[in-house]
Amino acid sequence: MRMSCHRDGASLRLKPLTPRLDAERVDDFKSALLAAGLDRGGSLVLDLGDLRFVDSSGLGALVWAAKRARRAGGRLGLVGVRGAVEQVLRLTRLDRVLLVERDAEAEAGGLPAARA
Amino acid sequence: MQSSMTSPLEGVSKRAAEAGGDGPVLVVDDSPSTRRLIAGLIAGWGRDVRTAADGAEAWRILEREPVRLVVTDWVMPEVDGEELCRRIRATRHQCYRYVIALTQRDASDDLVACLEAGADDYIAKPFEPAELHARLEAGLRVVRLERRLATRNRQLSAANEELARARAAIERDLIAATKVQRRLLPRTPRRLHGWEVASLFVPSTWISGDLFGFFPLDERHFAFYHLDVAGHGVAAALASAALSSELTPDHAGPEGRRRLAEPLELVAHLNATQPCDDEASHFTIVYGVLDSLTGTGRLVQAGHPHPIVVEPGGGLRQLGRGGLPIGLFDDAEHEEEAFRLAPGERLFLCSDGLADADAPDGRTWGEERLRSALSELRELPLSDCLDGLRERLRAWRGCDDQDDDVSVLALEAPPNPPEEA
Repeated sequence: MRMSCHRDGASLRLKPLTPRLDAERVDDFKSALLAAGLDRGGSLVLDLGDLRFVDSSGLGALVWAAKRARRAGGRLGLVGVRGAVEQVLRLTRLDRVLLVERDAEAEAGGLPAARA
Repeated sequence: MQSSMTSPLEGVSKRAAEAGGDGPVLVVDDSPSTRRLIAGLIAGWGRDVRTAADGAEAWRILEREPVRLVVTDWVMPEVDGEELCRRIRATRHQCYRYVIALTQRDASDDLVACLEAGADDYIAKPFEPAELHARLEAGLRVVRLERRLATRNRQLSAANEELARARAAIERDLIAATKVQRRLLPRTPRRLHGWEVASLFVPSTWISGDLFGFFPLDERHFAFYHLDVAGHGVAAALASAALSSELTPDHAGPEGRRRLAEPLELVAHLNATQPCDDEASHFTIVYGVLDSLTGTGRLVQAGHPHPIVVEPGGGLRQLGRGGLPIGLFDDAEHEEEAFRLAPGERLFLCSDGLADADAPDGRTWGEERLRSALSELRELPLSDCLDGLRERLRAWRGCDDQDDDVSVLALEAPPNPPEEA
């Protein structure tokens, strides 16, 4: 899976460049996160601003990633959560379990969608 | 030139070993002296040699011996080089036969004719032994390459056949598994304690992770559920099959049967017994119990889409308070919601594949359209309403295929409470 990746202060910021996180893509998504150092215990910020759809496998992968980061002594925050992705996180109450954060950069990216 | 003459002679023994795999070289010439000269040279380079005085004799040898390389004179009585060459090319042989034509120097018509007839190379007479050697070796390289390719092709097609067989076996298994899985789903439409029950099931692949069911708890109450195991295919189907036995009162002991009447307890039990590790599949579920006489019930929603209630007048409301999927967190807590279905009201439990269905242009069907469709189809009998829903979904998708499993379990309260009827 293609992800953009850059340092943002103490955090490593990752953004999956795909509109869908579903059963077909979760394996790719997981290996991309591992390659980016999910197990190294640092602070990761996952920008979901490009995502328009997450299915239950995708949710499973987000939970997997959060648990994995925690186990390694790190943290995984989610930013850019909106639209259908936000709805499904709320429905499943995962918005209370995963670290959903507000983020200026992701929200700036989200403005066109918000206006539409 | 000189060096290429001597080195092959020094390397005779090494080449002789290779030569066995190359097969004999056939030398065709009507002149006994030229034939002997060429055959002698080639034999001196460690090759096995056959000779023929004309094309007809050559053809007889080719028919019985594994000759891969032919050096042939072009102008011969009876069957000449051109005819021999055409016959070689016209006949399907198990391997490629490389032809070097011997032509007269300056006979450019011959040259064109021999290439057109299918010769691979030519040598103009008179020639230097070194030239013959170089062209012979070049020809043998092509022959060896062709042989390796042929071997690889045979291996590939054998592997391909094996794959096709394995695939056919898997398909047979999947078809059988699909039939078994359909048997896990309840037969509908049916009447349960005076309530209509109908369902819709459209798996995205042969087998799916969607499962739904309903069963009486006693003469007055019944339970219903709809669940969706994450992912598709075999692993999801196996997980849903395991869950179906968990959700069958006949299989449960007294403790299990008691739990089936308590949605909150049941969901907690499922979450406690479902391994919350990375490999296990998690699932979403709505599980509820209902008093058939009063229409009152309780349900738990765990990560699953909200159940939708359609009122006889077309009004809509949704049930459930949301909640974590099962099998993700050991300490997940859920909430039970009490509800009441009035006479004639319908309850729909849908998989997310329904609202998430995409049109060819990428637009998602969405909860709004799903709810409107259910409201608009409310005048139809319950199972016709689900058929109508399927039609609308198909029209939206523009095809029969589904990205995700689609299933719906629907209940309809009797028009009047039975005690008043």
